[in-house]
Amino acid sequence: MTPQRQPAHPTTSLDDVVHQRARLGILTVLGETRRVDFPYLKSLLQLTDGNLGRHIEVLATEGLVAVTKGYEGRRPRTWVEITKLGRGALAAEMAALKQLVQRYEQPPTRRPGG
Amino acid sequence: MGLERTDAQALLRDAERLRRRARGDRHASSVPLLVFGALTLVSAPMALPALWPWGDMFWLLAGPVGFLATGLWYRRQLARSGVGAGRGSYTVAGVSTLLAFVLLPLVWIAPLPVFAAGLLVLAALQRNRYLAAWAVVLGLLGGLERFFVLSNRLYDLAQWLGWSGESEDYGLLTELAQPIVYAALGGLLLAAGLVALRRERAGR
Repeated sequence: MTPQRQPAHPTTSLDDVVHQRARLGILTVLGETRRVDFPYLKSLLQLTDGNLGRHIEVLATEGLVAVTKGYEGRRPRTWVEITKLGRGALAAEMAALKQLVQRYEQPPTRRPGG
Repeated sequence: MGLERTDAQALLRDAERLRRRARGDRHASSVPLLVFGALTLVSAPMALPALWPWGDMFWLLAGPVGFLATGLWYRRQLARSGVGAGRGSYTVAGVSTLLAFVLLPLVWIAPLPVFAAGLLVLAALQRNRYLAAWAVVLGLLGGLERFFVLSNRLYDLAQWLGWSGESEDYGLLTELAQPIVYAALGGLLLAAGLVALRRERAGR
């Protein structure tokens, strides 16, 4: 009898880039609003300029967000927008987290002959 | 990766909190509902032919104004707080405004379903189920009333209550039935907008 293939553990679907708390927060906010400016993200996530900048850089390098700099009147503004890839990564991460919680909540199954 | 259930739950909770806060900050649901609720309420007296003979003209102007007001609000919100309803929302607001003029004959025939369709596209872009549900309510009830389906139910009610008597003379109700239905629909949308506003403020 061939051994039954076990479904992959949900943690294998977690992506280190997305999984980090602040980066997951950035993607979550962008997933909801599509586009926000830098100060809004900073105040919402309570991060410092440098910290937020580094996290955004990591996400932008992976192609999960796009950064646009421009002016509104005389005021310089930095906009962060989620990409299609970022939306997919966020959905995969949320699905993996939900699956993980469900897995812990399920009663343990008895092994045959156990 | 040693991820505990509590960690996963905390991340999910945190994500939900952020999502609610961002949704609240952009006022995505409350503004279009309050705008179209107010317009529907204002349209009620226009349904009185004696008072306003050009009642049908109202939505030709009010519909585009409603979308324009919603789009301008989203834009203002994006400029002021740095969070908006998404670029697509302005496009929809703008395109709906233009389409409303292009589709003038359709707006003339059934204005509320046309504008409800615009709101539905807006809701779909925002993945906003609350706004979508109310857009369907507006389109459905507005469409039915265009053919007097709801005001006819008011006559049924009057008859059932014995107000019309044998002569089937509904008196003032004959004039007021449709304004009552539009006022109720406007009030319903305004109430839904206020509930959304309260939720949006609570999410902050």
